[in-house]
Formats: sequence, structure tokens, C-alpha cells
Amino acid sequence: MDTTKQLKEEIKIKEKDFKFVQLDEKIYDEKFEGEAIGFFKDAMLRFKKNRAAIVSGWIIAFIVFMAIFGPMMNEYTYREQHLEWAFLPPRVPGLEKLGIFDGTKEIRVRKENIEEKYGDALIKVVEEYNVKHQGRDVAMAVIKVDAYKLNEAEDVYFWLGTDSIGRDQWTRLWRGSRVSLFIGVMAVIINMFIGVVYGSVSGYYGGWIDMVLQRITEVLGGIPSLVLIMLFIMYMGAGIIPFILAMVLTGWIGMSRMIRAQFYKYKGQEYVLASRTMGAKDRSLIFRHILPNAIGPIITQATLAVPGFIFTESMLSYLGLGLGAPEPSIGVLLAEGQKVLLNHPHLTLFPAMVISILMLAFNLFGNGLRDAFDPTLRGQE
Amino acid sequence: MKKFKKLLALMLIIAMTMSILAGCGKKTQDVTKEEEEVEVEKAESTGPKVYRKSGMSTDTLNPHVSDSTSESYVMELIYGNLLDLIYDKESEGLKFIPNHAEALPTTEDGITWVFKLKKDIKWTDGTPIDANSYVWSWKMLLDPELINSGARALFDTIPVVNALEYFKGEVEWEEVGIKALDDYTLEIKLETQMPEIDVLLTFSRGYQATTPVHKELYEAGMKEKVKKEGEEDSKGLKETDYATSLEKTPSSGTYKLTEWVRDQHKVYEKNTGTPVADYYTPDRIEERVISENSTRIQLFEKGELEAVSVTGDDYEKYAEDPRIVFQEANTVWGFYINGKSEKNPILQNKDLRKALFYGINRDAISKGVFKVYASSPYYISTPCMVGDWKEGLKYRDTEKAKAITPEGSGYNPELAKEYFEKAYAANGNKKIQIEIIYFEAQETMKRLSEVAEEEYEKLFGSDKLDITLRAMPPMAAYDTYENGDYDMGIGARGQNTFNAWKSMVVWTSDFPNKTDTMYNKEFDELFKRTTQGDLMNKPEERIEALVRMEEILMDEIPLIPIFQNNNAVMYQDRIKLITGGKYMPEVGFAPYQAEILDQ
Repeated sequence: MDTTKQLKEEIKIKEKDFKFVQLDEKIYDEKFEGEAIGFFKDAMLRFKKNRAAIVSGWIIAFIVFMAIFGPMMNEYTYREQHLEWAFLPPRVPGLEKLGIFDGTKEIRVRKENIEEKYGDALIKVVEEYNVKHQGRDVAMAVIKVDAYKLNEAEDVYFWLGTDSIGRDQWTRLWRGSRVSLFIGVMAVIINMFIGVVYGSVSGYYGGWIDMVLQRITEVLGGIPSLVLIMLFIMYMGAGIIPFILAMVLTGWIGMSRMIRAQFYKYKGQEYVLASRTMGAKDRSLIFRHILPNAIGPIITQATLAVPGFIFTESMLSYLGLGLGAPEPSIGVLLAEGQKVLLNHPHLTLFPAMVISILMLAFNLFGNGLRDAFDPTLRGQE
Repeated sequence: MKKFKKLLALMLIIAMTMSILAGCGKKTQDVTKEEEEVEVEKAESTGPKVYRKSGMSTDTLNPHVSDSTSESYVMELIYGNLLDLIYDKESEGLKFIPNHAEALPTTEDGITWVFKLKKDIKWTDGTPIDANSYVWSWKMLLDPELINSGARALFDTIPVVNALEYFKGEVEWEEVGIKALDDYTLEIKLETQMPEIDVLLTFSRGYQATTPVHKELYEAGMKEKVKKEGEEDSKGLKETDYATSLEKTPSSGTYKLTEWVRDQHKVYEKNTGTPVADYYTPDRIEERVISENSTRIQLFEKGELEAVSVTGDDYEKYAEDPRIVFQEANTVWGFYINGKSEKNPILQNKDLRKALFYGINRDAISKGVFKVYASSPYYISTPCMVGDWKEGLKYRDTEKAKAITPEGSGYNPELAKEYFEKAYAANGNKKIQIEIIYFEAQETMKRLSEVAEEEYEKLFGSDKLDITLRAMPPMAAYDTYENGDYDMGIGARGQNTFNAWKSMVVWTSDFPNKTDTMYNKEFDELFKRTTQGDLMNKPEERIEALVRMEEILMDEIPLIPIFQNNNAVMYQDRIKLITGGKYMPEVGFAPYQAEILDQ
């Protein structure tokens, strides 16, 4: 008890101990440090942190660039034929000295013909073997030859080789990519348009309108889409426009469902109610107040749908329902290459690489977008 | 707890090792078993000679209705006929030998033909075959209620008296010129005199519609036809499921069908003791359904198939292989061209058609795309023979035919341009547009049309001619041709090697399934005169008429002939072909007569 008493006595606060710090200044609220971040900016920030998505974005940009400008990079056109130069292997100036892309290939010949037929073009004899024929042995050999020299094409370079009728594979590959990308992107845009309108109407009005519209999509979605697409193409004939239309037949259903769900989520919220009370029309409610909330999912879903359509196009082309000749697409090139896969692998290899990389890039890019637009991740990190 | 975990892990490890050991044990056992089996097989391999072939799937082996080549390849093995056609090593040519018949038919006037039959001919189940069986079979073949597609053998290929009338239901069977004089003698009366070769061919080999059918099985399978919706009334009232499965397929030929798994495989065993069995070497034939040629080549490489055809891209790889032999096809491929087109009237212009005829770079297609095919600026293929077939004079080798054949491959850019300019002027100096139909999902067909497009546009200038390509399934394409709703389109025309005149029927004005658009009275007249009229027995004039017919074709150009599909074929070394690599009409390389060496 004594000690407290002592303390009380010791700490005595007097008026002179205080002084005014800022009696003459005005006090303001402190300003936020940094800028206000909008929805897209925030998404962009998060997107940038996703390395895989960024790289994918650059790859897509590169392929799109090549699809536009690649066919112009050499003097050949996609349909110009050089029958005497069929199936030439890839040959690139510079790289040829490293032993790759040097325009050589292995062929089987009769040993006795090597000197006479392949004299100059011969690089080395890889293997010698005998074929028994009617009781006698015929000496055969696998030889490596310079295919360009053999076909009197020493001064020409086909960067990715030539196809069965001597067309430049480089030009065809990029033109094919262009066609495939075009089909994929156009199909997505049209699907998006139909899906957004259909889903908005269905979700916003609800009730019996929603009932009817949803039953229609269910009936449509119940038909196996591949069968529908095939029959449609058989009926319409192959071509770029029929392809796009075929993919639109049922392709918009997914988008419309997503939009409808968005509308159900937002249409009962207070700000919509407030706006409606103030006399906003249906149209402005739909397109100005509710739809912008769905912009993130729309972009994501659209991006993820592109590789799907490219893949469908390739698959149909591969099955022989491809575009009308001589127009290439990645699927058409693959279908052509597959027939000669064992003898001329370069015709399959490059289109396969492009489509694989493109699919992967689009998927990673789409995943990146999805994460970036995900509001639950907002403000994290 | 820890102890339990350890115990569990230990138990797991034990269990795994046990299972691995058990697996090993079983495997080793299996291996020894397999080895044993292999040894047994090896010990037996000096026995039966096996020929392994690839085939396509077959729907029916009923000779009366079958119309596919894959089916005929099966039927030629399992059915016998009155005669057989083989490769004769001595004369190095073809030879007709009697099969069910005792000898080749006799005739005095070329109108009445008499076959004597052997007495002990039987189906595999023991049912005898005699003259009455043949008569019954042919009655069924011509039955007006069955409406068999094969029936034309008896009124079209050779005109049997009243056969067509019976087929149409106009006369009774008794009036048809087919009689069994006794149990082993057949008499066939024709309406007009026919060359011997046509009669012999009609009654030889098992794939012909004239091969006998097994009465009991045929009747057992007979039923009222269930009419499908939209089907025309004329398709027949009855049908039979004869020869649509193994039990329903009897054999009267050199081989019997012992296994038939639809769309997968077939096995044939030799019927030893049948009349012509000695000419054929394989004791057993195994057939697998393989539709992809690349698969066939792989199996051939592994030694699991005796023969494979190599064209186009595959040919490059085998070009110098000593096993390669070349076929000589009796088919000319080209582009049909619609000379009666309403939609694209410029096609009616003969100059344009001639420009397209001379302007097609045939070598670019036959050598560039297919590698081994022959360019054919003509309508009648090279194996077609004229005159006496035993002498083997080929139509294309005659001076008269040579005189009208365009030089080389028929590619004449200068002449083509000249014609084209005329056509272009006739079109009012407007760009001419032509659509070419090609067969869908067939890579070479697509390439062919791509080359044609490029070559044409390069030659005539893409500012004056625009070619577009359109893919169609082959059946749909032929339907389109029949409807006359096309500009140009891929197609083929085959010829009867022994009777090229008869094959000209497809170009005549009233041919039922006409795919071209040529209607030429002179041609029709010549066709009639050479196949049933006054020129039948005037060999020289008959050849001249054929030349004239081809000349008309070359003038009208209902089809732009491009190539003859002479495939390259490889046989395994164990198959020693007796034709020495020579390709014969009808029997080909006679692979079933080849010497088969043990592996």
C-alpha cells in the first residue's frame, strides 16, 4: 500500500507539461498510398504473376503472327506445285551445316544402282542387306542421299520440306494454322454472341420464358454433337463457312448456361433493384448493369473454347471431312501426313507440333485468365 | 500402433513378392508351352501349303445378287462352274479347262451350245450337281420375282432365247432356251450367234452368276421381301438369305469355306478330289479383312501376307525391290464432263472439252501422283484384245487404233490453248468456271484433282479459267453424275478384255445407269451392229467399227481419260509366280497356281 501512495505522489501531471503540437495547422485525411485498382487492372496484376500464362500468351501471339505473315516469308504459294520435287525433306540455310534440316533422307535401293543413279547425291551407305528373290540373292542397300541434289534442286530451300506434290510445307503449315485459327476464333465469336443474348434473356426474365428456352437447349444438347456436325458438313459440303456454322449448331449452349447463371446471381441484388426503381429499362439493366459482371467468365470461357474448336476442326479434317482441296488446315495437313508417316515423318511432325503447342498455350492462357478474373482471389498476395 | 504399421508393411511386401514370384512362375510355364507349340508348328510346316491374303468385307456370297469385286474374289474360290480359266504354263497363255463339264461345249452354228457334265460332281455336303441343278439355278437367276442383278449374264452378256422375256415375266420358263436334255447334258440356245470366247467366259469360273446354287439352302432362305419405305416396286418381291453366313454357304468349287467371321477373317480349305483341284497349289487359304493399304504393307513386311499392292507414296520406297511386278489394268480413269450442262452451258462447247482433253498433263498425274500408272489419252485400255483371243492381238497395238490415238500422253499445250481461246471467246470473253468433284477421304483422289486444278489454271491462265474442287463420297458422286448435276468429276470405265465392243454399252444413249452425257446415234448404231448385228462375224470391219466408236468418243469427250491404274504388286519370295511376272487378263498373276515354297 505504501508503495502506491509513494508513486501517486511522485507522478503528478501538471498543465504546463502539455503543449499544442499543431494549433495553427489544419488536419486532413491521409491520402491512400498507391492508386485505386479497377477490376481489369487487378486481374492484370494477378495475370502477370502467372508465368505459364504469360509465356502461353507470347506463344499464341507468335503463332498468330506466323499465321498472318508466315506464308509470305518465302516465294512459294500454298498451292504452287513442283511435282518433280515431291517429298523433299526440310532444309534450312545455315542449319544444314549442323546436320539437321540438311535435306537428306534414307532410301532403299539396289546396290548395283548406287553408282549410276545416286552417284553425286550419295552421302553414305547406311546398311547393306540381301533380299532373297526366286532363289537368288539381290544385294540391296539403305543409303543416305541428299534429296535436293538427287532431284536437281540444289539451289532451293524448302524450310519444312515439301508434300506429296511438291508444295512448300512451310507456307502450307502457316496458311493451315491461319485457317484453323480463323475457324476457331470465328466459331467462338458467333457462339459468344448467341450464347450471351440467349442466356441473358433466359436468365433475366426467368419464369416460363426461361422454362421454354432451357428445354430447347436441353433438347439440342441431347443430340450427340459430333454426329450433328458430321451430318451438317456432309449436307453442306466441306468449306470454311460450313465448318464454322457446324460448330455453332450446339456450341453456344455452354456459354448461354453460364450467362444465365450470372443473371440469376445478380438480378436480385439491391443495386439492380435500385436501378429498376429509378425506372431503368430492361435493356439497360441487362447490358449495362448485369452483363458487365460476367465479362471475366465470358473472356475465360471464350479463350478456353478456341482450342476446342480448333481440335474439332482438325479431327473432322483428319477423318476426311476436311476443307475443300487445295485449302490446307492443320487437320488436313495431319491427315495427309499420317498416310506417309513412316516414310516422310516431317509432314506429320510440324503440323502436330504446331497444334499441340497451340492447344497447350490456349489452355494455359485460359487458365491464367480464369484465375485472374476470379473475384475470390481478389486482393490476395 | 507403430508395430502394427510395420507388420502391415511387412505383410504387404511379402504379398507383393509372392505375387511377383507367382507371376514369374506362370510366365516361365507359358513360355515353355509357347515354345512347344512353335516346335509343333515347325514340325508340321512341311505339310499343308498356306496362302495368306488380305481382303475386304463381304455381305453376301450369293452369286445371283453379289456385285462387288471383293465378293467375287471369294466366290471364285468356293464355287465351281462348268468351265474354269487358268494360266497355261506350256502355251504361256490362258486356257479354258472343263470343271463341272466333261469338256468344252460343242456348237455347230454358234447359236446352240451343248455342255456334257461330269457324273460325280457334288456339293461339299454330298448333294449331287447335275444338269437339272444347273437349269434350276439359272431359273432362279432369271426369276422375275427375285430380280437378281446377276441375271444380265444370260440376256445381256449372252442373249439366251427368251431369257429377258422370262426375267420380265412375259413368258413361261419352258420357252426359255435352257434345257436339260438328260441328267448330264445341258443345251443353251442363243438368240444370235456369239463368239466362242463370250460363251466360254460366261460359263467359266465360280464368281460368274452362272455358277450353280444349292437348291435346298436357296429355297430354305427364301422369303417375302420386306419392303423398305421409299423403295421402288420394281426391286423384286422375294429374296433369299442364301450364302450370307457360314452355314448357308455351301461349296462346289476347289475350296470350301470353313471359317467366316464377318468383317474379320475367312479360312478356305482345299476340296481335294474336285475336278480342277490339281491346278491350284494352296491347301489352305487364310484371308483377313484389312482395309488400309499401309497396314497391308506392314503385314507384308512381317511376312504375314503373300501379296500387297504398292502405289504412290509407298511405291517410292519399293521402286527398286526385285519382288515388284506390274499389273495391266483394264480400266481407264478420268474426269466425266457434263456436255449437257444447263447450269454451266459453256461445257456444251466442244472446243472447251477438247481444250481440257489436250490440256491435261497426264504424266503429272500418272507419274507425279501415282508413280506407276500409265497415262491414257484413250478410252479402251491396253489389255483389251481383238480378233482371236488365243493369238492375243491387242486392240491398242493395231495400226488403226494407233492412227487415232493422240501422241504420247496426249498432252498438247499448244493445241489445247488454241481450243481454249475459241471457247473463251464463245463464252463472251468471260472467266470460265468449272467445278471438279473428287472422292472424299481418298488422299490420292484429292491430290489428283489438286494437280489437275493447278495444271489447268497454269496452262490457260487463272484469269480465264477458275477451277474449284468439291469432295463427295464416291456413291454420292456417282448419283450426281447420273442426275447430270455436275461440271466435271472423277470416275472410271472398265472394259471386258475379251470383248471391248460389249463394254461400249456404257456410252450408249439408253444405258440404264448412264453416268456420262453422250448421246450419239452413230455410236449407238455401231454398238448394235458390233454386238448383235451384221458386224459380229466380220472381224476386220468389227475392229474398224471399234476404232470409229473410240473416235466418236474422242470427238464428243464425255470423259477426259487420264490414266490406267496399272498397280505395282509385290509377292513374298515363297510365292513363285508361274506367269513369270506377266499379268494376264482375268487370272492376273495366277497366284493360286503359283509354286509355294516352305518358309
